[in-house]
Amino acid sequence: MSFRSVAIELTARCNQRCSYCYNAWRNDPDVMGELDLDALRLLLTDLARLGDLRHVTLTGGEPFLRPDLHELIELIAALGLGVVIITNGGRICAADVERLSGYGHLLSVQLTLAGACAATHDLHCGAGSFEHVTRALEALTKAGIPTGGSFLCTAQNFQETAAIFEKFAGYEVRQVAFNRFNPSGYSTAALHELMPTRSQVVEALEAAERSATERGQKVFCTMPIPPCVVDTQLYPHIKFGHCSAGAKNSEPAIGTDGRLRLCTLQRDSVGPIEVLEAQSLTELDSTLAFRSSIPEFCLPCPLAKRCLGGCGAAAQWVLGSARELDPFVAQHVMLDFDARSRQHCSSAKVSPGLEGNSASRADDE
Amino acid sequence: MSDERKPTEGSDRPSDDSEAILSRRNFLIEAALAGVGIAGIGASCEETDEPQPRV
Ligand code: SF4
Ligand code: SF4
Repeated sequence: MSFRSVAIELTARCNQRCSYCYNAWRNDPDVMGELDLDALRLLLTDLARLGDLRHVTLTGGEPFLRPDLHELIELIAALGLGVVIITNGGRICAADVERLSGYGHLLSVQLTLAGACAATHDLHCGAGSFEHVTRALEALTKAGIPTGGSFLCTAQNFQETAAIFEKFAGYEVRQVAFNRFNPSGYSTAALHELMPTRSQVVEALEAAERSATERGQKVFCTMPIPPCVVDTQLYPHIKFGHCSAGAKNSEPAIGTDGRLRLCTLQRDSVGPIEVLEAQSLTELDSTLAFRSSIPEFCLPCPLAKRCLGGCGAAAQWVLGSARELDPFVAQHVMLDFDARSRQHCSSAKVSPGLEGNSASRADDE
Repeated sequence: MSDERKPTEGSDRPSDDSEAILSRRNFLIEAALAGVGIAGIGASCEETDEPQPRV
């Protein structure tokens, strides 16, 4: 099977409408179906049988909108697997915190800050969301539940990086994902407002490096920041990486339809999980095609085979093909980037908000 | 591709960010041609793989 971790998208429903959301199908009535507990039980048993699964990431939509979430966690723990829950925190109540506190280090929760204050965070996630996420951070960390942070770095919040890391430190959150905005799915509609420039990411990385040095926080970049963009040696306390889609250490995603994608940001599925009966993930045709897609800009680069030109999933969403350069790099080096990205991304204005807001989906093609 | 530059809006000149990326990519290419290893060119991320994409 060749992967140890899998991300399961439990539901398309969400109580927030974050502008940076990668989901293509958020609250889409056509994909509101979700795998029930029996289907998830079968899926997990199959995955455990097929290989070396050690870890499950539960995501969505908002996982806490599933009334059977705790039963599912029990099921995963009974299989001896670790679990991370990615949540916006808005639906976590005291009873949830109590139930989550019984798993020790088998379970952790990850919460995102897109601002150090309500004004900036709510600009990304909707009115009231900062209060929700900070309340969840407080309750979870007070209960001793392992809690990780995610800093979503955009053009609208990069100046608050130091304050955001300080905020996490205030809750004694030691692991923080530095997650530079990576347009895909729904968030392609907000590409031009949210995409940080190279200089803005450099400023944010400098602040994150200072925080990691002074506070001992573990900082890792979840989205690639290619080595032609920054000299990674300047940030010794930050862990950088490159695209793992389909590679040995990858975390493929399973959608609400039960189909497999190479990672959560990928637009297209590679089929039902049964495709893994015959071939391992690393050997699938789709994996080989994806990982051999080197953008033209990168052909002379000695790092191309590993870097792959950054995020191919975002390139597909924004520029129409995984063979294109990561939009984060392309915005600076592709002459017709604006025109080409507008062709593929919806120009619909995203209005972040809590449930009840109607928001349009990213244009698929 | 030195022609692949995104000019600063309203100007023919490439932005500082474009220059920085292009010159660093050239540095990587020249270092590789000179036989410098990956660690020597400051591409430490080559040693690790990306943690899970979590948004
Ligand atoms: S396609 Fe993009 S999001 Fe997916 S693993 Fe690769 S770099 Fe990460
Ligand atoms: S492969 Fe492309 S994106 Fe990656 S470092 Fe080289 S030139 Fe930059």
